[in-house]
Amino acid sequence: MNDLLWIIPAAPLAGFTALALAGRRLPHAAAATVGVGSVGVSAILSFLIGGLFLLYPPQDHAVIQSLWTWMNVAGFAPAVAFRLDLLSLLMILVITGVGFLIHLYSAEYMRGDEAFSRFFAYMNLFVSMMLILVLADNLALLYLGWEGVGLCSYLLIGFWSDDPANGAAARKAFIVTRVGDTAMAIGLFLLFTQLGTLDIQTMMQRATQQWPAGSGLAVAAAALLLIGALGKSAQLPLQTWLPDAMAGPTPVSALIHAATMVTAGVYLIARTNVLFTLAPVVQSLVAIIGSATLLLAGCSALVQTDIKRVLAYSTISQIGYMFLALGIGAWQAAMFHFMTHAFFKALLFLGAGAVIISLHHEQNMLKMGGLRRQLPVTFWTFLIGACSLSALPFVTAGYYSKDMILHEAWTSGPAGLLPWMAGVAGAFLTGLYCFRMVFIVWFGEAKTGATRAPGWAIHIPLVLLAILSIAGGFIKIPAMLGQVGSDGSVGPVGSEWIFQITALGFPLLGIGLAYTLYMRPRRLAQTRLQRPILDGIRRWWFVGWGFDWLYDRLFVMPFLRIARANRDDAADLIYQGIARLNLALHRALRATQSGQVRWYAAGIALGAAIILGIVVVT
Amino acid sequence: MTGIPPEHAILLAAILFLLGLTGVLVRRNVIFILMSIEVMINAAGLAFIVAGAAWGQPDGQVMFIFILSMAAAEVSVGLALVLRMYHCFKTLDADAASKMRG
Amino acid sequence: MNVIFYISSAVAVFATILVITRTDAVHALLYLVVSLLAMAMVFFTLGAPFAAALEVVIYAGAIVVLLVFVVMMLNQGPVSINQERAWLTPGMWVGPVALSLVLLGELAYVLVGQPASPPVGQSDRSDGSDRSDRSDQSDMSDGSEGLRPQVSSLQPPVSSLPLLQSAIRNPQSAISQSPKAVGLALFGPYVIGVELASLLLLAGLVAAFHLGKHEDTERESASSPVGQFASSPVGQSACRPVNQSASRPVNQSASRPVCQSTSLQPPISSIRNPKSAIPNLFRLSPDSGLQEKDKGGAGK
Repeated sequence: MNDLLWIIPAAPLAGFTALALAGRRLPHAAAATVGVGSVGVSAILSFLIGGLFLLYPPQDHAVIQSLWTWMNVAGFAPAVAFRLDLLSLLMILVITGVGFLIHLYSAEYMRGDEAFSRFFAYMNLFVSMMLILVLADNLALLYLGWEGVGLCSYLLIGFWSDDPANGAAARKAFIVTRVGDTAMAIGLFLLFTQLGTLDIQTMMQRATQQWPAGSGLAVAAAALLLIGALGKSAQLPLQTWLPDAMAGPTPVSALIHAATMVTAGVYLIARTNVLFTLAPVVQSLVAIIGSATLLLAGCSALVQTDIKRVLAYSTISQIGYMFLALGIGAWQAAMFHFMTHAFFKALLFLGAGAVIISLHHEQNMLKMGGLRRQLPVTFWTFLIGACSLSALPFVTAGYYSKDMILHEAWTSGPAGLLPWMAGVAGAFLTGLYCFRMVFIVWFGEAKTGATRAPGWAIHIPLVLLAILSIAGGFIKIPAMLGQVGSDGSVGPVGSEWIFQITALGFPLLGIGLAYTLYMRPRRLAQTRLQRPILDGIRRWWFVGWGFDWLYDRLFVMPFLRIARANRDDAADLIYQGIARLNLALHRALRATQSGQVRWYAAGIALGAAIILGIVVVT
Repeated sequence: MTGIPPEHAILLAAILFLLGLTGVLVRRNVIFILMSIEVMINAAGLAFIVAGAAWGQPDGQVMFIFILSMAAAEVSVGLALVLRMYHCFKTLDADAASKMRG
Repeated sequence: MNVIFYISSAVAVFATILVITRTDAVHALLYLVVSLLAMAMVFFTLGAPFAAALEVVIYAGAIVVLLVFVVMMLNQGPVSINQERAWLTPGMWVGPVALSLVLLGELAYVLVGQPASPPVGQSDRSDGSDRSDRSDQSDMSDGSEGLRPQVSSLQPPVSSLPLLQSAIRNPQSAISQSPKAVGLALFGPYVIGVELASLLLLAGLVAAFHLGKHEDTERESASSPVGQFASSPVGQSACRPVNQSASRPVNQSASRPVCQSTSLQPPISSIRNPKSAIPNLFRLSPDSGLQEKDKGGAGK
C-alpha cells in the first residue's frame, strides 16, 4: 500500500491535466466529476495509507518513496521523493479531506459560471502542489510545491479576471509572497552551500553537527526560512495580501486562504524545527511575530464590514497562534491547532459563501440580518464554527487546541509569559469579533432576503465540517489527564486546571461583550461607540493598521518614480547607441556614393596620393 | 644636342598630368572633362617619349603611337556618348547623370 | 636645344592652365591646340620627330577638331558660358588643386628627389644588349660606353632612375630617332600591337557609329525585343543602315582602310543581335531623352 503513496499528489495532477486539455469541451457535470473525483481518490488513499501507518507504524516512523532523481548538477542531486511521517500524514489527511469537501461544495457554488472547468483545473493543481509540498523529502521539491501553490493562489484570486480589481489583488498576493519566496530561496542556497544537501533529515543532522547553537549561519538560514514562511502565511510584516485575496471565489478563500496554503509556513517551520532550535533568537522572533500578528489582526477583524474580510483577518490571527506555538517550541500544539483551524475556518468560509450566493453575491454584513430563519442548516453549522473559533469550552475542537497552546506558553518559563498574555487577550478578541459577526448576520431584523436555498452539495460539506469542528478535539481528551510531549513522554498534570479556567473565561467574556453591543435589546454599538476618537481608531483598524499605506509610501511610490524617470530605458541606450552609430556610419558612407563622376575621379586621385605617400614615406 | 635632363622632362609630364587631373576634378561640363582627359593622355605619352629618348630607342615613339590611337578611339566613342547624354538630359552637366539606378 | 625645350614646356604648361580655366569651350579648345603644338616642339627637342609630327597631325589635327565639331554641333552658346561661370567659383578649385599639389610633390620626390643608387654599370647595359631579338639599331650596338656616369658642373639632382640618367648621358641617345627606325620597330617586334591597335580603332568606329545613330530610324524598324524596354512601343533595333553622315563625326583613320568608313552596313553580323554583343548601357530607345525612367546611362 505504501507504494501507492505517489498517487496521492498525482491524482489531482492528472485531474488538472485532463481539465486543462479537454475541460472546455466537457459538460460541467463531467468536469465536476473529474475535479472532485481526483481529490476524492487522493482522500481515500490518504485515509487508507494513514490508517495502515497508524496501526502498523513502520520503521523510524517514516515511509520514504523515492521516484527518480530530479537533476544532477555539480553535486546537487535532489530526488523526487515523498516522505510520510506523522507530520506529513496529518497534513495530507487535512488537505485531502477538507479539500474534497470544498471541491464538492464548489461544484454547486460555481454552477452556472462559464469557466467552470478552468476553476476545477486550478483547484486540482493547487491540491496537487500542496500535497507535493507537504510530502516532499527535500527542500528543493518542497520549494517546487511552494511556488506551485503561490501560482495557483494567483490564478484563483484573479479568477474572475473581468474585474481589474481582482487582477490587482492577485498580483498583490503574488508580489508580497514573492518577497518571502526570494528570502526562502536565498536560505536554500545558504543551506545547500554550507551543508551540501537539501534532503531535510540529512540536512538537519549535519546542521546539528556542524553549527553550534546560536551561530551566525544557523541564525541566517533560519531567519531566511522564517521570512519565507511569513510571506506564505500572511504574518507581520507580509500580511497585507490576505484581506485583499478575498476577491477570489469563496471556495478558494476556504481552501487556500484558510485551511491549507497559509499554513504552509507553519508546516515549513515545523518540518525544519531542528534549524530553529539551533537559532533561539529566530525562534523567539517567531513567537513575537505570532503574538503581535494575532493581536493586530484581531483588532482589525473587529471593525470590518465585509463578511469575508472578517474571516480573513481571523485567519491571520489564528495563524499567529500557530506561530506563537512554534515560537515557544510547542510543535505538536501548533499542528493540532492547524488541524482544528482547518475544520472550523473552512466551515465558516463555506457558510459565508452559502450566505453570499443566497443573497446574490452580497458581502456587506451590514446589509444582512435575521438570516437564521431563512437558512437554518447554514445557520447552525455557522454557529458551531463560530463557537469553535471562539474556543467555547469543552465542546469544541478549537477549545482544545487553543488551550494546548496557552498551556505550553505558560509552562515554558518566563519567555512564554508575554506570548501567553497575548494569547489570552487574543482569545477575548476572537470571541468578540466572531460573535459580532454572528449577531449581525444571523440575528436582528432581515435587511436582505435570501432568495436561493443551497442544495445538498453545499449542505453536506457544512454538516461534515461542523461535526469535525466539534469532534476534532476529542482525541486530546486522554492527553488532558497527562501532558504528552513531542516525543511521547508524560509530564505533570495538576497546574493545568487553573489555566483552563482562565482560558475558559476570556472567550466567554468576549462573547458576552459582543452580545451586549450587538444584540437587539441593547444595540450599544449604535449609541455608545460613535465617538470621534473611536471613529479614528475604527478607521485605522479598518485599513489593517495602515500597512498598505506604509508600503505604498516606502516601496511602491519610489519604485514608480524610478520607473517613470527611466521611461526611456537607460539600459536600452547601449543598443540604441549601436543602432544610431550604425545609421550614422551608413549616412556617412552613403555620401561617398554620390553618382557624380568627378567625385569618383577625386577618389581615384586621393587613393593614388595615399599610395604614393606610403611609397614615399617608407 | 646635349642631353636634356630626363628629370625635367619627366617633371614636365607630371605637371601636365596633374593639370589635366585638376581639370577633370573641377570642371562640370563633360566636354571640358574630355579635354582634360586628353591632356592627361598626352602627358602620359610625353613620359614615354622621354623614356625612349633616354634609351635612344624608337620604342618610346612606338608606344606613343599606340597611345595616340587609343586616344583617338576613346575620344570618338566618348563624344558619341556625350551626344547621347545630351539627348537624354538636355544638359552637359556631368552631375546630371548621378542617379545610379535603372 | 635645351632653351627651346624649356620655352616650349613653359608654353605648354601655361596653355594647359588656360585650357582648364576657360569658360568658353571653343577658347579652351584653341588653347588646347596651342598646348599640343608646344608639346610637339618638346617632342622634337627630345629627339622624336615622328612623334612630333603625329602629335600635330592626329592629336591637334583630328582629335581636337573632333571636339570642335561636337561643340559646334551642340551649339550651346552664351547659355553654356554663363553656366560655366556659375560653376567655376574659386571655392571649387581648392580641393582639386590641393590634391594635385600633394600628388605633384609625391611624384617629384619619387621621380626626381631621391639619391640615386650607384650606377648599376655593365649589368644594365648588358640587359640592354641582351635584348638582341629586337631589331638591331645602329645606336644600340656598342655596349660599354654608356657605363661611366658623366660628371658635369650642371648636374641636376641625381635621379632615382639610374638607367635614365645613364641613358641620356649617353651621346648616342642624343641622336633623334628617325621615322625609319620607328617604322622598323613598329612592323618588327611591335607588329602585334599594330594589329591590336587596328582592332581597337575598329571597335571605336563601330561603337561611335552605333551610338551616334539618329532616333528616327529606330521608330520605323521592327525590332528584336528587349526585355526591359518592352513598355516602349518600339523596341530597339539592330544597327540598320541609315543616313548618318550628317550626324556622325568623321572617324579617324590613321591606320584603317578608307573603304570601311563609307560602308553603311555593319561589317560584323553579330551586331544584328545587340543583346549579346553590346552591354545594356549602350542600348538605344526611341524616346530616351524624354522619359523619366531612362535615367542612369548615356545610351540605354
